[in-house]
Amino acid sequence: MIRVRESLQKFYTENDYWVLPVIKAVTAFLCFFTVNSNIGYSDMLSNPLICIAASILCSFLPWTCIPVFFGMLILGNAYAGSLEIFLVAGIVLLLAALIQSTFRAGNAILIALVPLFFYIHIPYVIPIIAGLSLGLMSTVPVSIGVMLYYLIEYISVNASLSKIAIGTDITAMATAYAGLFGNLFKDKEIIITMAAFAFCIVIVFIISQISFESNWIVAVIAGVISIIIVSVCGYMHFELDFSFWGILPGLIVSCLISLLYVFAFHAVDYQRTERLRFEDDDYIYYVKAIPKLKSLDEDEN
Amino acid sequence: MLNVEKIRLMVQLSIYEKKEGKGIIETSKYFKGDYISRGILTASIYYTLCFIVIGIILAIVNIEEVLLHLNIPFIMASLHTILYVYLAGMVIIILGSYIRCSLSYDNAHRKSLFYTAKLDKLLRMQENEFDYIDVTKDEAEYYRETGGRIRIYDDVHNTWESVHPQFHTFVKDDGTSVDPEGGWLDDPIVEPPRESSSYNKKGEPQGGWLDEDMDDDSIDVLNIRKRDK
Repeated sequence: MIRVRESLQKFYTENDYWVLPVIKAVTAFLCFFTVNSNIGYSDMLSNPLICIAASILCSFLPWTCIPVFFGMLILGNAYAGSLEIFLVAGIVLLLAALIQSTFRAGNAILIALVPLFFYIHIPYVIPIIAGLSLGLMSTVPVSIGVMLYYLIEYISVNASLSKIAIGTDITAMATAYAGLFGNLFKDKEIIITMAAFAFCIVIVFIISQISFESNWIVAVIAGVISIIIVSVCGYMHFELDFSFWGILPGLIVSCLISLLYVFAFHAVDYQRTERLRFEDDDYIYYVKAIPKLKSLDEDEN
Repeated sequence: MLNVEKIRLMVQLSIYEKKEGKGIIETSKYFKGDYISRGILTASIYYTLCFIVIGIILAIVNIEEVLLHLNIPFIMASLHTILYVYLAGMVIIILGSYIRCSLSYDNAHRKSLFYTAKLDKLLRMQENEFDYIDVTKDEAEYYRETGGRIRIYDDVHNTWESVHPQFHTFVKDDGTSVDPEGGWLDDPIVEPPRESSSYNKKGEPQGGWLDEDMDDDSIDVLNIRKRDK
């Protein structure tokens, strides 16, 4: 395992100049594809070429651009679905942007990754990894991501049912809009999921900060257990149907992926090769600084 | 003349600037109080906007109830509740922003001190050009008398301090310069290294010359261009 980790580290150090843009492009493509495959109402935005072009663009831009494009895709598809849904999506995205700005939470990529991981049925990976590596403030983007996942689900279900006749009685219109917003904002499942993820991040973060052997592994297991406990309590409190066996495979796979993450990233610094340009009075220097990698054999010697 | 130690320091500074520069520059523009006030003000504005949006959404979701109880006592009671919730949230946001901004300022300030210290070292190194003082035999007497000390200006205390040069003094013999072992990197290498010269080892800067073994430096100099003047 250590050898694999070392070779991974070496590979990243030597090839980071193309690995990072490729990872960005693939992540962006998967996120955009998730939106288009679920709410692809706009013919233009659903075009795979648009998706690929946006992904390539994202590979050159900072990570923050992926959730921005992600939000724009949701808005575009919601507009193609219906004007009412567009209004709901617009308000939700505005709220998301404001909340993210209020807390200056950072790690905005999580906003786009949470829906993606929900659709591949391993959403529990995100809060565990966020708790391990990104800190407590990652609770904010993870919660916003959960909100966006339920927004996409909501749009996919309600887009065709939400035509409100304009010009009818104002009370009827208000009631129709209340129903439209109520379907999303009165959904108790969102609250339970947000609470479970937030609790998981806090637990994982606290345990991973305590110094003892295998603290990260214990943190992962505690995170999974905390998700189960909060979910069970939440569903019981709101008297909703809950299938433990339904989420169990996702939990097990998430736990395994998180453990793999621990082995690959715990106490490993994936430093990039830096290409620098600086100057003094006489010269302009073009320098490539390669991080030193110490193998296990060297340490033993 | 290229000095490995100087290049290494410049690389370290450049990497540090690339990684931490944004935070340092952001905080260095403000005093701590101003920085915290700015953070609190920004968070308060965003919080207020958030509160308004959430308020509108809740009003729309509960529109039927609002329309049914649309009278003065209900409106007053609702406004009171909204105000209390808003103020409670605002207090939490202000406290959170204060702690966050204070910690991030202190953190960035520590980093900026580290950066400044490194920069100062580089500047001193540049001032003294490897602390490699190019002097004649007569001039060298002065350095022998003063124990090889030189004066360096201290920006903080606005004073001059006398320090030992970090590198050996190279004594120029009647204006004829002696090249270091292996020659200068920016000069064409013509002559083989002079083994017998007494100045070869003396004249070496700390860290050696750039054209020597650089395996352990992890620095790959791609290109060095002489600046047009």
